[in-house]
Amino acid sequence: LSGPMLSRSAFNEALPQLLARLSGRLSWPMRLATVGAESDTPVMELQTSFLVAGPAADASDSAPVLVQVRLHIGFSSAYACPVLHFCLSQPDGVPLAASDAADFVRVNVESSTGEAAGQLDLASVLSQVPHPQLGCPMYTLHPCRTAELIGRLTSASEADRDGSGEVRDTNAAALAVLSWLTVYGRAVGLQVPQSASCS
Amino acid sequence: TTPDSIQRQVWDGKLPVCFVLPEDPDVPPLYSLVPRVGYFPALLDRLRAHLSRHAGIDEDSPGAQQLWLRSAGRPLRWHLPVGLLYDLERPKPPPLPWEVEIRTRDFPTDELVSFGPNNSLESYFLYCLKEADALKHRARVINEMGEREHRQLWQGLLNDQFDQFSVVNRKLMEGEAKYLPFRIYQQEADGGLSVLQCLAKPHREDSTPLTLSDLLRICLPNFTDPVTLATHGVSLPMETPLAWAYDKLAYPDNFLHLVLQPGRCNSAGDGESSAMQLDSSSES
Repeated sequence: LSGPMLSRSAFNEALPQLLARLSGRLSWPMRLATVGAESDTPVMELQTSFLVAGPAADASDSAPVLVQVRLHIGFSSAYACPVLHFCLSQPDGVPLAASDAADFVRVNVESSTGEAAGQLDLASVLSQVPHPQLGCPMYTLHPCRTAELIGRLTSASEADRDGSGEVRDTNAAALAVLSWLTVYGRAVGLQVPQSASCS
Repeated sequence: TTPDSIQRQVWDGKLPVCFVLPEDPDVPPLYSLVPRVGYFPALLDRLRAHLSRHAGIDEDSPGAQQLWLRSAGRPLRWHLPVGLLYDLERPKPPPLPWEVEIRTRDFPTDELVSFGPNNSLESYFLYCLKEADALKHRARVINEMGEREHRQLWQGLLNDQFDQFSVVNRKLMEGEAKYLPFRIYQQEADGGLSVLQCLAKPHREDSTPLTLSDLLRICLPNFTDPVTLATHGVSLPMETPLAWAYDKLAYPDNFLHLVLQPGRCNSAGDGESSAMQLDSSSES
């Protein structure tokens, strides 16, 4: 890990700023929620829900397929980095079949990165798991490489002025999470506008 | 370090399970000795084959593909190891053989993780191992292992091959751990399950080993009722060092899964027939 680490409390403190930066620029409902506790620190998430175009069911479809994404932006203490949990359903609420969910993520990743279909081993990074606090089944992207990315982002932002190895500057934490979300949010069709990172 | 007899006893623990199909009482039950450290979804192929042979339910049919399991009227949270699910049953673990219902309709999509070709049990198991190693070693050890060793861990568990599993798992279990991977479970009366997890180092500030008592105080700071922590059907004394309990009693997913029970620890153990008898001469 190259940079100072995020902690759950730093993440919690950054959430209101993250919410403020996003809710002005995205038209979807967003809210902060406390979903549990870890020792005496609340476990908090930013929760939102939006409709995006899904992978076309078949090439001859003229109507775009819409997917309802329910997204929870939380924090993993194990990896000391943010983590996404999400549910994918048809607009009427019926959950997407597992193969359609995998296709949805795959198409989003490919269109963001331009990577060809065969190169991405989705199974090794996308799993349906029980939400750590809520218990309900949700998809998640394995955070194993995220910690590295966050380390680089916090390092670049000079967020460890007191040399403690931990991010203590709320502004820096919010920007690091926002940068992470700009990258990882694409997997679920979330486009974070660049203006969100301006003061 | 070679795996010792406690770790081997943990691995070998099995539960007799009787799978029934209430939708069709004419279908004979399927009996199986299921490893406590294993997972129910690993049996899906066997269950489908059984239904195909005896209930006329084709293995590729929606019913067989959307199969799920119930016990005492509640969906079995089958992402959890079998032994943990048994130990969580309320008001007390059911008589053996444990009667588990097979359901082919109304899969509870908002409660149960769905395992299948697009979400394999193997990838979920790896997800758990990665998280455990992230806590212990910042994921360095698991990331240094190649796909072959990841597969070997899974195949070892799936095929009940302790040696095949241990030779790789040893690397994950040895060395200094930053935080110890554990979860504390409490089954609520309404059927809900509370899961507690927090960051716990192997030692206190004064370098003495952190005990289970200390752990409870960290996870449940305002809790005052007398409680017991149990794993693999055995209650643990509260002065047990967490690091010792982790080393001996962690599940193959590299987590120590602890069940919170009201009341003080009975140091003679639960006396349940499913409980594993710890060989006290193996204690270090």
